[in-house]
Amino acid sequence: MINATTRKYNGTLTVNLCLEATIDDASLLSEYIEQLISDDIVSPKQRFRITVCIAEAVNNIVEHGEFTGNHRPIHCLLKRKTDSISVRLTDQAQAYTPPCKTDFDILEENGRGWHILYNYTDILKYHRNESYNQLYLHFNI
Amino acid sequence: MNFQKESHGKVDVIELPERLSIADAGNVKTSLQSLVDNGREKLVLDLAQVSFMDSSGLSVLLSARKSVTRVSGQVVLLNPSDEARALIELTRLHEVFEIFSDKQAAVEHLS
Repeated sequence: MINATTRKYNGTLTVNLCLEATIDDASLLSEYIEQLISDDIVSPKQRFRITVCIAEAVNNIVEHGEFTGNHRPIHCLLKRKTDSISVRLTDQAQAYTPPCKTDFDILEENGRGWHILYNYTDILKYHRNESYNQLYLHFNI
Repeated sequence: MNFQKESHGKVDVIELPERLSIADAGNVKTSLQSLVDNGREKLVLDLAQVSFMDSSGLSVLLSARKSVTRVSGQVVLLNPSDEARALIELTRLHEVFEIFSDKQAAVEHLS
């Protein structure tokens, strides 16, 4: 179940979403974002890339950060301007270190998420506070 | 999970669902595995309906490949969208799978 609040001010659409760190909510979020940016301004290619990146980032939290079964909330703050979409994901799961390199074995089923994130975002930043992780994704549109 | 499936002799053409996300991947993998367990070893995975696929979706493709390879079978991909094909290429799966845009050609390749 995802809670969303939406606000538009000075041409910037701000959407605040809160979800549980579960597989179902992770999947719902990518569907929600896909609908939110389904218009003529965002190309199908860029829409796909944005949706996939958000899915990868949230999947990482659900699969690796919350593997103990805690389903603590994930906050997703999406800002849409005329020429960009940015997403800030905040979670209270275990700290992680984004890999510098994204080598992977092409026959392995897993291990492609960060490679996709690095290649499909225009800016990708990670920040860890005492109790939360924050991942910032920026896309030019 | 029920697939749309067409059988052409020993070759099955499987229409994958619209979304291949983390929530769907497990069921799809299990269904493909049970096909292989039932002796269907030559699979064409039709991606024409797939509008969303993340790395969980890519893992479905690799899982199917692993299953059929174990029994000396084969799997190829059919009709990915431009976006899905770009993701497949970004993650180098085009080095692992043959990709077809024509169903008949895919079936003949495996026959």
